[in-house]
Amino acid sequence: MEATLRKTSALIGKDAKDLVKNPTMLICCLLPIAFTALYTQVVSDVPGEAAGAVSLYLQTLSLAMTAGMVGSMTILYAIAEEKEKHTLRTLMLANVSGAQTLASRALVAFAAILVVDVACFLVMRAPLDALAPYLAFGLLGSVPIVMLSLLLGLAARDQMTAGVYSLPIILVALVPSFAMLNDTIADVAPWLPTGGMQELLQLAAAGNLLTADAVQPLMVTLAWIVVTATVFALLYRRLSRDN
Amino acid sequence: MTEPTEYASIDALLDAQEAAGASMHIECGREASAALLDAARARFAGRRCAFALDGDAGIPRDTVTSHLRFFSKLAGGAVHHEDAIAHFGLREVAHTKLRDLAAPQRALVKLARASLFEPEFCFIERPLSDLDADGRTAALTWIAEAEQAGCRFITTLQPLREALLMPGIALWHDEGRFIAAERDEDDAADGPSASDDGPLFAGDEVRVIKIPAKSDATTLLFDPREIDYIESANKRNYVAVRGSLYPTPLTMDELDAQLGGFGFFRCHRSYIVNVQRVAKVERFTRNSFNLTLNDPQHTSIPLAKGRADEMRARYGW
Repeated sequence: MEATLRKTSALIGKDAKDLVKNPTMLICCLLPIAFTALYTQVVSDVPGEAAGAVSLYLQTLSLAMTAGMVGSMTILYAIAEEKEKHTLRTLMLANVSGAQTLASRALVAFAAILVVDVACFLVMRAPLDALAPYLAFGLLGSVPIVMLSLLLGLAARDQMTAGVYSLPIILVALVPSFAMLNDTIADVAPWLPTGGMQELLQLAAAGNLLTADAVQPLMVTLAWIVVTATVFALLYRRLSRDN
Repeated sequence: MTEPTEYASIDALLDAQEAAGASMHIECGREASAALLDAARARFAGRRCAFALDGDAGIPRDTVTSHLRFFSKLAGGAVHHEDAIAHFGLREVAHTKLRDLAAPQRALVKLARASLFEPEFCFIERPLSDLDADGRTAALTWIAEAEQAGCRFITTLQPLREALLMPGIALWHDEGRFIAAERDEDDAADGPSASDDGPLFAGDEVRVIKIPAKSDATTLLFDPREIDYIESANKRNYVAVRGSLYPTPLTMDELDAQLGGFGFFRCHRSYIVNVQRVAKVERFTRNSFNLTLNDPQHTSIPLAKGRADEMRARYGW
């Protein structure tokens, strides 16, 4: 147990440092903040009565961008690079288990998502009382994205395939943000991995979080977490063996 | 002459390795090396192991210090990363990124990483191949010290000469079999070499000595002064001239007899060295000697323990 904790903490330290040193991952962490700043600037002259709705839209958009970009790239790209550069093999030969490696990557990804979410929130200058639900639903919605990224990270052969695999994840994460622009998207969005997160945030903003309306988005999000975790558990052994 | 020891499979080889409690250094290709790695991993799974493989370049953005510090933490910190940096002469590049290292430094980082684990068993691919003379000294010193501390090595490499520089059993791989190279200690009963029989030159007789060697369909005749050393490997003898090896039809005894008068010395059963080319004699442990030549490659040649005294007496070092 002591050895497991020591190894996992060493891995977390390495992965956190690598997140800052790796230009691709760093840019993916900075992009949601930059886009949030840009959108905030674009909608800064919206009149008072629409400002609340715009702020809520910015919150859902920034959460979706962060979950998609940071969640996918900090895991998928990093695991693929470790495979391409044989550092994953070096770790395995140093008695580090696949589970320890993936746990470290997932924890660092959640920490990065949390930091980027906070930065986005500060950039959009939303009311501070919205911060807690914003972070809570942001992390909840990121769980299925992180699980999918871990799975695809194991499947990716190299950084190039990781780049291809990350695109659908980012797209799926972003779709709910466009629900208010198109009826078809609005019909599909609630059933997507980050759709529940968006609806829960809107319910919290309207003060309706503790009503029956919250059950469906919460169940959809939990269902995505269970499904992605189950698929991950089923495929983990096979993908690890292939690696 | 006795037949050399042979092992018909990897399992037979590993059984012999465990029974003898000795390190094994095997001249083989990549495929055989990969098969050996898999078999050794399975066999030594429960032990404290370390591996240094070809292509283990680490994260290119990491510095030498951060890379070794991380692996020292993983290993439990018994060996401090600064100690490994000092031992392998990596102080000057301690803050250099791994991607900016030269090949010899990269090879040393791999060995330094393996040393952090204080292994009971260590598997290394090409441990000396990319190293310069100083790097080889650091690597051979660590291997000899770790061996004496109880670590058993399996290394895969080319050429066989490198296997003979390290403590343990040298072998070569041929069509699935592993054949032990002839050990120099077997030579002890052979008596003095032909070079001890007296001077080759008598009176004012003019004798021309040329060593024949093959290059494709051409027979080359080398002046002894051109030759760096003679190597016997895989049942053939080779003349080393300006970094290239040329097969020669002469036996080691014939070569020893002909070259003895030209400043050559039979430093190992499988090696005759041009002593004029020897730049350095190193001793890593009580039983481990190494001659470093002043050729462009700074080639290392094994010096058998039993012949070290004779060489010391003859050349007064």
